[in-house]
Amino acid sequence: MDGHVNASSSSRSGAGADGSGLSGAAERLERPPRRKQPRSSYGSNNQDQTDAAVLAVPNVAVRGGPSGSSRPARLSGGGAGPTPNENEEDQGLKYGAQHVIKLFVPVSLCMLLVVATINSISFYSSTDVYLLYTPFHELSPEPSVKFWNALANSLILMSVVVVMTILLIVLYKKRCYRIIHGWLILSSFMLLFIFTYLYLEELLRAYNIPMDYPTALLFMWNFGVVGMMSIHWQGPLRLQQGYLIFVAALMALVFIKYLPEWTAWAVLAAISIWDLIAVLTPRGPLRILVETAQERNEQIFPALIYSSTVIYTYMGTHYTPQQTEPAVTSSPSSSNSTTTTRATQNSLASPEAAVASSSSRTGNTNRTNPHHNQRDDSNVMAAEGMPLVTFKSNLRGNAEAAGFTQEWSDNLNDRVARRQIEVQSTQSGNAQRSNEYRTVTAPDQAQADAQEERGIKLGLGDFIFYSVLVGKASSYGDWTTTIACFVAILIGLCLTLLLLAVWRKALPALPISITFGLIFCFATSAVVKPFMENLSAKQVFI
Amino acid sequence: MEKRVQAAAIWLLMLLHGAAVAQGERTRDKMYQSIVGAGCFRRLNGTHQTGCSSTHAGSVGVLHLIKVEADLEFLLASPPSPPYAPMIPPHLFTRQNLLRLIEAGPKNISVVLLINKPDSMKQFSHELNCPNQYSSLNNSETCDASNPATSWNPWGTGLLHEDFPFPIYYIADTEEITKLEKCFEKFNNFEYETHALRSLCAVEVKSFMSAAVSSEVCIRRTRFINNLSGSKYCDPLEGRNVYATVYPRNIKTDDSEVNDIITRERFILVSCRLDTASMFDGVGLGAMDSLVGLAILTQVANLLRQLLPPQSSLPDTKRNVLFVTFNGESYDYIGSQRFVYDVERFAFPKASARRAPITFDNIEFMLDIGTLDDIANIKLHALSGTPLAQKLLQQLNSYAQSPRYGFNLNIQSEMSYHIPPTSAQSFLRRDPRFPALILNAKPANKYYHSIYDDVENVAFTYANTSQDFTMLLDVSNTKGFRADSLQMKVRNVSSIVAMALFETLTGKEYTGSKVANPVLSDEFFYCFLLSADCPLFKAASYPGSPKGLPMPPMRYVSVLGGPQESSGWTYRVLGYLLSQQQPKIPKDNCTVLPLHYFAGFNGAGECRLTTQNYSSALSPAFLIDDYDWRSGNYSTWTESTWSLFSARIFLRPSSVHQITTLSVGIVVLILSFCLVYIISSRSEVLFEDLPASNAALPPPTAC
Amino acid sequence: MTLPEFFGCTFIAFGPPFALFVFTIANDPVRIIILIAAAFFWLLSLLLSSLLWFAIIPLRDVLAFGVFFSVVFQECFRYIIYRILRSTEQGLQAVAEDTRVTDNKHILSYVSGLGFGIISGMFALVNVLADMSGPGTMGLKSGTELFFVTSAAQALSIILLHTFWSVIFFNACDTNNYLHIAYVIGSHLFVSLLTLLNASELYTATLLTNYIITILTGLLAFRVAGGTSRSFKKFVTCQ
Repeated sequence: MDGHVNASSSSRSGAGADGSGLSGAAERLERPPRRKQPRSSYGSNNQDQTDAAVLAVPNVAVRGGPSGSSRPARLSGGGAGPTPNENEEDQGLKYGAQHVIKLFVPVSLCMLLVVATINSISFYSSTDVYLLYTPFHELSPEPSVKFWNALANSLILMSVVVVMTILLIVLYKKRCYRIIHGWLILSSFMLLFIFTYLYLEELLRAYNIPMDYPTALLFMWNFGVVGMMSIHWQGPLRLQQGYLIFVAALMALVFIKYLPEWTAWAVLAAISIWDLIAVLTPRGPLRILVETAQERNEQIFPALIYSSTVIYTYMGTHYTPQQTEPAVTSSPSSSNSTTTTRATQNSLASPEAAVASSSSRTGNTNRTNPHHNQRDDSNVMAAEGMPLVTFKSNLRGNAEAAGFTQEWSDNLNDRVARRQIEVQSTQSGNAQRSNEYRTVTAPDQAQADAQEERGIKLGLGDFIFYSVLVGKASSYGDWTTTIACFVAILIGLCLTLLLLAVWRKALPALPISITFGLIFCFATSAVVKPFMENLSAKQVFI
Repeated sequence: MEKRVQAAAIWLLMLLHGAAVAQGERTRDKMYQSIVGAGCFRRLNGTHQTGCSSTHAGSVGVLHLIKVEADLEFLLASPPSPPYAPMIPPHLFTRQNLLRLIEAGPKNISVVLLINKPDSMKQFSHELNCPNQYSSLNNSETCDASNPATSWNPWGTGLLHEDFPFPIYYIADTEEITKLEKCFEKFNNFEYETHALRSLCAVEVKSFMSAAVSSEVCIRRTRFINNLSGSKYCDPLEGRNVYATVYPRNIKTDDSEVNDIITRERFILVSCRLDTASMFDGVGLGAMDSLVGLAILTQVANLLRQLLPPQSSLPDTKRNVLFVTFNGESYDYIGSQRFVYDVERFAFPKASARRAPITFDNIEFMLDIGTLDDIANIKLHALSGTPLAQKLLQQLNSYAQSPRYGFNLNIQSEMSYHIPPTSAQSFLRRDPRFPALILNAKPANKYYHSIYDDVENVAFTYANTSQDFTMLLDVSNTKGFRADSLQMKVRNVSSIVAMALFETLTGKEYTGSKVANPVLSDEFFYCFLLSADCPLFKAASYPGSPKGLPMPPMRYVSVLGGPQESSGWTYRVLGYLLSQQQPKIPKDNCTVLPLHYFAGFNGAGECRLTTQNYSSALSPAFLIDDYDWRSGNYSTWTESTWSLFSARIFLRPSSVHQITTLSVGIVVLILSFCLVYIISSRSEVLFEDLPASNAALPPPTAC
Repeated sequence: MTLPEFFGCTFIAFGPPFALFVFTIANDPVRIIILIAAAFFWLLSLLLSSLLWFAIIPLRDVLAFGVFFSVVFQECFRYIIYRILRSTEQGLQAVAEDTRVTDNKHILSYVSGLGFGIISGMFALVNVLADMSGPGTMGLKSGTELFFVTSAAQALSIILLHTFWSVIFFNACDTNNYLHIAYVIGSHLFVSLLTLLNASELYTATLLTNYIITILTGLLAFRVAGGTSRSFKKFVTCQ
């Protein structure tokens, strides 16, 4: 931990590219060399430094991201005062448990919503319509056929995800932010209106409640508009959280509804493996995406990430101040840093072009960055969503496509975000913080004022797949299985958080939880259930 | 040795498998016992809903066995622990009793179980006295419900067209009935006054119908714009008419030929009804009400196919016989209305059949085979005594009374508006001058459109002769069937009809001695009344095609995507019997219609030139935009969708017991909250050994 | 509908634990995590015992066998969780906001015991409760109307017992009090095996005995946790 901290502090302190590079190197050897080259190609010292810091950040799992000289200034501008890294760490630990609970509650609520829906609305537990990318419907009674169907389906799904992720990276690096952002809004619009309407319809049908159109439309309009506002713009934190949970639950229900039985399980397994790869391998697309986002000082888009604190408000307010501040304090470097990161990324492909772009932008950055940042975030998410969206729209009707995309994008985003819990430092989007903090508590925020910063983040994708697992388990009608899955997932989440605290490194949140969940789900339904049924039928208590 | 090891391994595997299958019994398996039966469901027309539906969660009622009418009084006079579920035998399932149950309201009567104990049953028909009254000719003479003498179903109660506030569940299996009765005897049938205080054996029936009010409403709700998830509330009743001609028609090559053929082809339309109706899902064979007519039509087709000379040697080479079996006729003549609608629009046959359209001008006359309950009383009905009708009547009677054949039947005639409820009504409604002749017997079916119109109602016994049923037999060869057997009756009537048509077509009297084959009737009824896994269906199928189910085909018109079993089998049988064998064409070339490869009687396989086809039997009301649902022009029947039919019995706890449990629970909850709060708030007092800083909870607030 | 019965039994079985959760667990994140961790360990023990029961096919119908090993496994895992909690105590101290958690070792044992109890009660009862929400009650084929109420009452006693057992057990491990450990294992075995009699509907015998044992164990746990008759008197008299 100390090492990390130091590294972070060093990088922040504005140490040259070398310093940051070293710290990074300590953790991951592979990365630094790659990045160093682009940096060196840049030219200006300032840029280099900033680059180095930025780049180092991802490598370094330091929490104290903002503590750097340039950062603190920004943070303070954002209303948060920088504090020593060490303090942050301690606080991080102390607040760890609290943050865990702050995630437990929404995750449990989301699962509860899904399980309650599955058990009351039969519509969601029967699969009669299928997604386009699950072309094998597992209609054969042969287990072997079902098995390869599920395998093929999940492979198709996963390859779609992989392709989309890569597309997203490309889009993101090309800075097609407007498109990405537009798609993101569109997809959340679909989810909040069309899918919610479907849900309402099925809910009313399940309870046989008649409702007239004016009432339903009035309700839908209010619900959807408030949701759009609170997710994309601003609104009370609780409301935003509630909407995000609902959206995640809705998406999970869609998966449960439309994925064939075995495919759903295969997808769960595949996605957690993919999560592992995408986040942990040095060239994992999600890692690259996240790092890029971090380098660009971007926050994770609120539509894709559940946060226990307010983010979106800052998107508007914070960013501007933050960025402007950097400009003030260490204006060239900070502003450059963001831009440079972009440049570096571009430069990965073609260094010269990157340099050119970076240099050209640096001048503008001070003013324009705020906007860029905001867009970047959204873009990131959207970018991921985008490709999916288009893909789906080809496949199916707009509504579904949008919905799916949204979710997919969510998932992607989550992965991108590494599905971990991210403590958010609202502040500048220090790359470092975001990186680190995905994992554990929010030490960065040592700045007491910004309590919000203390918030913890978890990708909506994690919500979705946790809920898919629990919901699927509950669709078999056995409550012990459901409870076992639930406990296993929570414990997996705990462990992930623990590892984050220990390793200080972005970790995927799906693998442990999903593995535990799958093991307990199958073990319970195959072995424990008969045993418990035998016991409870004879009223034997153990 | 190896084999032994293998065997051992297999045994081990099986053991493991068995182990894996071993599942604990859940509590609910001990609480509930499911009951197999058939449910009554909801149908809707343009203005009303009919049939029944349970409540959304399932209707629960305490079982009460009705043995005599007096037992009902107990339920109707403020019973002690409502709601109840009377188990009613068919002879008490009368209109009067059911109306009283409806009147008692869902608070008292929540479920009605109809148990299959037909011992005292005299009649059981829940169709209207005037079936399809509102789609028939609008003439008081056609049918008078108040006058049994002129009504077409004097035993009808009309319950099929009532809307019940409770589900009705029909339990056919005696074992299930025994289960119910045992449960009733064990838990309910004593000390009625303490019913409210103890657990009672109750039944829960789930048959919630998602459609309501009328077809108009539910079609509107089903439309996409109102219904994003695409779930259906109701489907129009929809089936397929089956038609076939004696002589193959020319394949239309281009449009120029059309007019030519339209003006010159002349058809004798022979029709009957394909479907039947009953109150309960999947039960009801319609043996007497429509299957006899279908059997006769099939026999006539077979006879004509074999008796008639080639078309080119007829006096009029453009004459042909068109056999049509109309589907959905029980529900306001869906099939024939659609047929008329299509013919008016030159849309019959449909374009994909590549045959020239048939117009009303092409139809020489129509001979409609109605319900022939009692063949001694067959009448030829027509609106007016046209020469055509007189001539046909004379021909029919000449064969019916001919001593050479010894049929000894007398076909009377009735030329008036007193027209039976058959397909011809749709034609006459369009044009009263349409030359429609109807063969119909005086109504004698006490089980019209009911679950009891079955094998017993027509007194059918399967002879299982295993003989060739396609050949015509000499009139003296009865194959051992008694003269009053169903097979012989059908043989006689169909022979008469076929001979008369033969004479009409050829202009010559039929002088041969070959008549219809009773074995064909035997096989036909066996297929349709007992088991679709039968020789006739096998012969009429592609060799090696999957066998029919060992149960009779469903003859309810059903909806799109429904089983459509009876039209499918009829299609094959008509196709087989009305086709010409093509011995020269090998099997491999016999793939494109009209050539079709049949298994044949002996299963050897034969290539035949067929003429049969389907036409849609969906009411035109669902085709016309902005159709006025209340206009009564076309059938508007739809069937509600439902998710499941299920019934189970269990013990219903008394309310005393429930309330006791609940109050104990609430008391425990409140007590524990108070106790835990007090203890936790003063824990440092209680656990005094610990240092103050160890107190688990905030310091005490008060005491 | 017997929703009343459903709620009644739910309240009976889970009302007291819920109250305990609300007043003593819910406001401390560390306790919640420990509760869930304990539940998880109980699940592991159940999984092991089920596997054993499942693997030994011939003894599948002999429930006593399964019960015996299940109890053994549970106590093993109780010990494991004891070891884990004790070894991470220092870490917990750093993490916990509330130092009382670590200062008062009984709180840890109480929380983990409650976790054991709640999950055990849930597994025993949750499917029965789900079946209870239908329209029927027990008794058509076998069993009596009392099935549900007695199940709920038994579940409550097991939940409380697990809590008490953990308090006693943890303390006994700390102080090497083998008598207490033996008491915990012995009474657990006794209670579980006693419930085998429920199958023959000897509810009064089993329930009465179990509640007597619950009260005795509760008293023992009370003493172990530092309670005395004097403190109780003080408590009652509001001094």
